[in-house]
Amino acid sequence: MTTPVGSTKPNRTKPNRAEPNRAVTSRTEPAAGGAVPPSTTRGTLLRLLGCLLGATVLVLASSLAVIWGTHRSAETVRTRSVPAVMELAAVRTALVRADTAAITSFQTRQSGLVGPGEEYQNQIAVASQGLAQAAEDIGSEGGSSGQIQVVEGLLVAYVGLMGQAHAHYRQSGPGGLATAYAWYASRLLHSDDGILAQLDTLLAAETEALEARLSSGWLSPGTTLLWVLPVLLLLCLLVGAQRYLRRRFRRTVNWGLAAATVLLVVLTAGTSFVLVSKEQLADAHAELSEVRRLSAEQSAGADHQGIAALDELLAGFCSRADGCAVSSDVFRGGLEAGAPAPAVSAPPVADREVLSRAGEVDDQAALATGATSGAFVVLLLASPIALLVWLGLRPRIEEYRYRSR
Amino acid sequence: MRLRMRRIRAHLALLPVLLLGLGLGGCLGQHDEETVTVLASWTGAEEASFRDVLNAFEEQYDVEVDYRGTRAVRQILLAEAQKGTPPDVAVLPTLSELAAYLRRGVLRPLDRDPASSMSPQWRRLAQLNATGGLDVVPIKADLKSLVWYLPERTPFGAAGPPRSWEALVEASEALAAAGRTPWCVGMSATPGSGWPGTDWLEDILLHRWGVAAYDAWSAGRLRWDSPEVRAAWTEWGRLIHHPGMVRGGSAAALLTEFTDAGRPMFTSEPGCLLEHQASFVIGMRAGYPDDGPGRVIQAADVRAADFFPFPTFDGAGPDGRGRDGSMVSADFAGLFSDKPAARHLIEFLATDEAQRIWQGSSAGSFFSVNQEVRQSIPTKPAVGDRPDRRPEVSDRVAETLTASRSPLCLDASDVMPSGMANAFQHAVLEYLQYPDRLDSLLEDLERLRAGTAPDEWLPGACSAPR
Repeated sequence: MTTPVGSTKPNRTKPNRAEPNRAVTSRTEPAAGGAVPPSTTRGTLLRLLGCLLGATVLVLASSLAVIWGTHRSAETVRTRSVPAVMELAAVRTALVRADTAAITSFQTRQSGLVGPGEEYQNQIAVASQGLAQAAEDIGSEGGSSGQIQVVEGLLVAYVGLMGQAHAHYRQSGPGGLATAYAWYASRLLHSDDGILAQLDTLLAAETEALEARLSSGWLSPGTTLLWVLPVLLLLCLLVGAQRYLRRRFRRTVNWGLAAATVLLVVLTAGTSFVLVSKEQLADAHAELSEVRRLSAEQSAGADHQGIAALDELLAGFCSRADGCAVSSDVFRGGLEAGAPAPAVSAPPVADREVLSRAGEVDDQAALATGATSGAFVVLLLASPIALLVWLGLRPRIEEYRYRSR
Repeated sequence: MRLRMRRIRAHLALLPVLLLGLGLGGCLGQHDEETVTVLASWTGAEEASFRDVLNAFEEQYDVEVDYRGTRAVRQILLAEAQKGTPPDVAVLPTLSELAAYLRRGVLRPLDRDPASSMSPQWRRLAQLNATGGLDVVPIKADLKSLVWYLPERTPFGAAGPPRSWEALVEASEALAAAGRTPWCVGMSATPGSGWPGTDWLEDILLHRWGVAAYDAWSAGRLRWDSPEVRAAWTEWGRLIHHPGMVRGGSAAALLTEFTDAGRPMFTSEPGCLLEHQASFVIGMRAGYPDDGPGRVIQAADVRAADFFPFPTFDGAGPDGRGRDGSMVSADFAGLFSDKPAARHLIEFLATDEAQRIWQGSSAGSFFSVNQEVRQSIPTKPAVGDRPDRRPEVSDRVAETLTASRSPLCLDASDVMPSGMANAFQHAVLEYLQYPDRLDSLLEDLERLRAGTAPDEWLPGACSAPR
């Protein structure tokens, strides 16, 4: 790199291979006035070095920031937002199933010994654990935390009412207060501001929060410019420096700068993993929407079974002709308006399908964070750019340490 | 010298950054200080009316109000108070719970009475301490001792609506004998089913045994198995367990939601003729009409509803005094933080100005405790230009609430400790289905009363006019 590449043409502005010897002369023959005038070439080289190092620092810093920010956001989406939405959807399904199981056990008179039944107990346990997990995922920020507490409080009331229904069943047999309390519990679950409505509000809020996370902050499209612009700047500087050196020193290639350029390209490729990460998160979000759709179908299916069982249970206690249709008609009308009955021809959604889709959501989210982890490694490998720039320009600068031009 | 200049320049350069930081910090701090969080139970149309009042406050005080409306207000307040992050202002109907928060130091006492025309009778009802200052402010009220009916459909005869309990029972029995079901009853009210029945018992106790017995009972000084309380249960049972008295009998009463109970009263073939319900039923009925020819409920019929006061028993009361009085309920606003803006909000909500705004936007379903706020203010029509109510009906409610010549008593369930009130509701449901269990129910309730700590009871529920 320090070997001069000669040219026989004299150049008045650029030093040629003979210039170093002249530089020695100039050290022994100071200019008029006794002081060595500062070399303009050296100044240019120093400024170029400064610009290159500055741009390199900018590139490394912006790349690190973008990769780190994207990684953090992807981690938040993977470990908090996505699980919270999936947990809440699962809680909703579990509660609807629990209610259907309990109502069915009262309707079929199986609750004498086992109460609302094992399925009810299991689904309530699933719902309670899901709520606790969702509360952990959501944390204490925003209104969702308070909303989960409301759902937890109402769930306690719901379980209490079902417990009352069972106690009255044991004490007085089917019908009577057993049916009334089962009805109160079911209403608490299904009413306009009941548990399911609160869960739907929570789900909507968390889905909105997830979508906001995916389209803002480090995951917003604008952040690409944050690292692309410094990269383009450094690339232009490197190419410009290369051309300058070739013109000024008649070197075909400055290998230091060339190696730095190659590393910059590698770094760019590595940083572009954040785009892959964003793509994976978008896929996870799309898959999550599908999980929610399937879960809602499951809920609706179980819900309509439960309502049919509730209708029969109520009819056994108090027939429509006796004036018991008022609230149940209003109730049923509200439910059907909110969640239309699933098509008869549609096969029920299997748990396996929902779980499989949920697994895919997890995988996509994991790939997203994996991509940003890969970007960190590339960033580490590409960090010697500054050193290469220094090594590439240092000999030229050294040559002009005592030169006047 | 040059070094010094550089330092000065560096400091000058930092100045805008510091100023910006200070400015941002100031803005953030101010935002937190000037935002008041409010928790109450109003949603839907009721929330819209309340928001009109909050908007007026925001404009006048340049303060932002963050309102959360949910029927689970008690659960949320409990959870947030336990976490140490209660809202700045919470509105609850249960005075006993607010008193419990005050004892625990979570509820902040108000320094001074708000400037309002609150009647002295209401001021005494809202007082939680013996020192004379107010700790909570009633910002919305309802009259409870009412029996609703449609005058053109209910054949009371020339004498008009019954003026005594005995006449009411007699009229009900006559209707039942004629094949017309007199009473619309609905006990379902998740998550607190049974409270419509507690209102019945409270009204009967008040109007048979008078204010002194009611006051003592609501304050935990009268046993549940005392003759007075037992008589109230049996009187109610005499009415509702009589065949043909209640639409659908006990089973329908248990299953019908209180908000739907009155619907059959307005259908073209009425399913029942009388409903014991508070004045808030005016707002609930806005959703009843299915307008148009051939529809089940016509808006004109809903508008025609009238009420008569819950009748007293014949004769003088046990202490020689009358048995007049009305049960009332209210939503009380309490302060849960030290923010001056929150204190200003509570003071504002109690003012005549705020109460008039609320009344003007509530389609006739809002009632104030302020004497200067009467029903003559035109209200927003519920649908289109159609009047939503009969003004004279609302005027009579407002008159009783603010200028009553007889005692006003808060709903005893709102004054009792919450555990006691909860058990009372369950007992009502059980009695409705199994009247033969009354003895054991009263024994259970009495055991609970005896086991409740004395400081959980409020001193009383009634306030006489002066």
